[in-house]
Amino acid sequence: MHEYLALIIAGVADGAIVGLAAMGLVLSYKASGIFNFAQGAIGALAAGVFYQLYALWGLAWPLAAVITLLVVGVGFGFVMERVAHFVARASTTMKIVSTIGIMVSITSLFNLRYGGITKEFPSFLPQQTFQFAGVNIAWEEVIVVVIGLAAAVGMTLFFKRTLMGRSTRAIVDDPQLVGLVGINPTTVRRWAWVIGTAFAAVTGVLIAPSIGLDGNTLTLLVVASFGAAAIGRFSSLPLTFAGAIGIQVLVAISTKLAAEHGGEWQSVPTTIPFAVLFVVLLLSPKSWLVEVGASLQQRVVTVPRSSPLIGIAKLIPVVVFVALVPILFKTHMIAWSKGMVFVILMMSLSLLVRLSNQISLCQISFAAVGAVAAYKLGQDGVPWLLCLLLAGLITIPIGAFVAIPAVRLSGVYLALATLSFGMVLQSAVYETSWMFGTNPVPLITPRPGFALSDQDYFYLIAAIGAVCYLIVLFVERSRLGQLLRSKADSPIALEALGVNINVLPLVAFCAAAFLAGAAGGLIGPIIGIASPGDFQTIPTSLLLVALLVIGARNPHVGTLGASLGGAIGLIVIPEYISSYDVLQCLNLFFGVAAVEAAVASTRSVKPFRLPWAAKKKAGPPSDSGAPAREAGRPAPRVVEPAGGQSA
Amino acid sequence: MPEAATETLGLKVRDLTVRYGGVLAVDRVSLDVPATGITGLIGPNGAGKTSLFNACAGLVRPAGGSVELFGRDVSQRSPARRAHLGLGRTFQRIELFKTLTVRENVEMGREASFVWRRPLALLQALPAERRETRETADRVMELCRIGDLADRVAGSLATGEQRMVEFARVLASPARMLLLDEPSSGLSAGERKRFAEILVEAAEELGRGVFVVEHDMDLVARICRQVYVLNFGELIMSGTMEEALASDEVQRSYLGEPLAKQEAREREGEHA
Repeated sequence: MHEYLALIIAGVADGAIVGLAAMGLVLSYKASGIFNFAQGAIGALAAGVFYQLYALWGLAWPLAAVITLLVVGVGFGFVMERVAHFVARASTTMKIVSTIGIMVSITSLFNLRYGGITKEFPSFLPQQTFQFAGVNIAWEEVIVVVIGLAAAVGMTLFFKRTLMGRSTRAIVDDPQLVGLVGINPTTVRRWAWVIGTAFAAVTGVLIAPSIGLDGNTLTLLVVASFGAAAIGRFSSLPLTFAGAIGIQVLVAISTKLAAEHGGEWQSVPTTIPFAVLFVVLLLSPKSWLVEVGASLQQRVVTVPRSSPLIGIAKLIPVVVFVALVPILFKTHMIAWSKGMVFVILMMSLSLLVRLSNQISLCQISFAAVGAVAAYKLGQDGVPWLLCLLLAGLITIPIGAFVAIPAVRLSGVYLALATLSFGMVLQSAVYETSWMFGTNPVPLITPRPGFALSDQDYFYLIAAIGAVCYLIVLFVERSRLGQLLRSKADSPIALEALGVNINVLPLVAFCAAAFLAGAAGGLIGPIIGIASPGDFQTIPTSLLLVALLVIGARNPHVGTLGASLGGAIGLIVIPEYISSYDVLQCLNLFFGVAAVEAAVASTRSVKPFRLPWAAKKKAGPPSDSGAPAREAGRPAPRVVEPAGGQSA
Repeated sequence: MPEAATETLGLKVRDLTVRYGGVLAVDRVSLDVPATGITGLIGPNGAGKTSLFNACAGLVRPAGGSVELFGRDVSQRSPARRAHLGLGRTFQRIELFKTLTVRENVEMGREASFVWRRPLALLQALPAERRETRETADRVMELCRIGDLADRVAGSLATGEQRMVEFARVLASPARMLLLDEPSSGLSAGERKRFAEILVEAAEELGRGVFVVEHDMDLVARICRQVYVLNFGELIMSGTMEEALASDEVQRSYLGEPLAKQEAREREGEHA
């Protein structure tokens, strides 16, 4: 019994730490409508700053802590408030992309300074223990629990008792109105962000001694606080704090069980926070999960259209370029092949993100399922191309499963549900016999007999990519595409016209899963092996969304262009860079570009005209697009910035 | 003119009750809306007009009562199912597909009815369906005089034009009973007049029944054969617009009790 008491106490201490970050997350979400995916990265950044001051420069820890809080908490809180202000009217997808961008930027800055290797982080709180009910308790644990409790109680009272606290919620929905009653909305929002980031900073500094200074692990640990926020229904601070403690107690107990039993138990501790997030999102009544700030998203980016001729004209350089790749870039065929597969992955994602305004943060998980399915079918002697097709088909039920939350949830809650699904799959299923297996030997995935050389295999991927592009094009221009666009604009109107709107996200997710599954089957044979490392939800799934959005930064760029640009940025260019630091700089650039793309999405768009078309403009203005009508098809949409506008 | 006897009921509401928590929004309302012609629903703000509409359309679950559509009980049906059975509606807060063009918006009205007809209809339209969709949209857009806006993006239009597009979309659908929720709010006086003409013409030409919530009394007087008056969730009268305007109770519901009392007192004062 005593051993469990000790575990519970350790869990409560961890929960108090994580609970701080979770409360900060909820606080800034309530005040701005922006769910901060960078919360973990901010914690890591704070740990880095504290490490610099305390361990490297030898400052006393209280001084180091104060400086860290001022620099990261207050300083970064101001930065976050500005970003939040600029994307307030953007679509939910864009808001998510902006914080993913910040997360990527911070992580790369962190890695530039401290490298990718875990450094030991000295503990600074008193380590002495005392006996209580036969259990050894460290003073450190007592202190963090007191800090956490004080923050939870203080924040709760602040919201109940003070005018500023009560006005926080009103600010998101109608900043001007709150301004009218004499409260400056910017001040309130800034305070919310400062407190939110400060809490993340405290979490980062407190948690670092137990896991060391490692940007990725720190980020991931704080991402686990999303589950606590879900328990608090993304609005109640005390419930969030309690949820964090509950989750961490479960984690502590399961860690012991994992150590005793081994095997399948090993993955349980890391899975719990994400499983909680997924289950809570799946089971919560819809009325609990009202998206904060959605009412602001009323601005419409009017998207000009162009004729099919322009569409074909845009396609020609792409085809020529892809055909020339094996000649121009002979030495990097592996990178380009992988890039081509990611083009397919991005196209599959664009069906969700760009067409139906849904967000999926588990696209790489679909690919992982497809990769394993293709491998296993290949083992059974199924012909190679058929394997690929079947891999796509096998992935469809997984897509349908993920669509269950998609039917009920939208916006940020769907993003969190897909993220948690991806994380659960990755930590609990990847390394079982169902998927990649428990042994560290990767799956051997041969190329087909008819495309053994690097060049031939590249062309094979390109050909399959072309087929996938035709599928995407077909879906975009079909009745289904039109229905999905309509639903993204106004689900209630579509329902009033007699369409069962629940089926639409299901179909969209199935189509996206099919393409992603097929793409997954192509990844392994590029280098001959497939391993879990190729299919990491964080960062790959997040970067897929961010890069797709950056690729579509110019709304005149079509699905193919955006996918190609995104895949080259995400996969191909990094393969040319051998320097770790330059690679981090590239990531930093992606992060900043993602934020910029999100901000830019709220601006209006000028129509696209070919240079020579501008001269003919003197004619009647309405006849652009007329040829398309004659043909009985809608004119090709020049696609709007990913995610469209209204939620 | 057809015989009045051939007229059938489009919408038959019996003892409909809608509650929001402790608030009684609609209190045992019974009313009949004929399958042709335009019927009005008026009442002061908060009278329960939109709640009644939402309960008819299936967006709100009523606490009691029944709704019959062309003689079929649809009380337990989903909004989409009611749409299939011939109910169409517009919204008080305009609900357009803002990133689609006007033509695409109107076409969706017709297209949506094809979606569940056969397997795979969700994916792709047949040529015949496409032709019919286009022809319907052309006709309706001409009727609503928005043909010149066909290629504009709906979200970029002015409010008056958006209202007309929303109306055209529901006209393009096969729905035979249309619920219009404050179709003239946000329109200028000129636009209202034009809208009234179009509404009457469209309802007659396409043979649709219309049930309309409206604040503009002149408009209601011009277009409605019959009106129902709601106040505090209760049906206080039904009849022609002239009768409604003459009714003391209707006057009171709009002017408010204290004012009516005050008037009464003044009258008494005069007598004294």
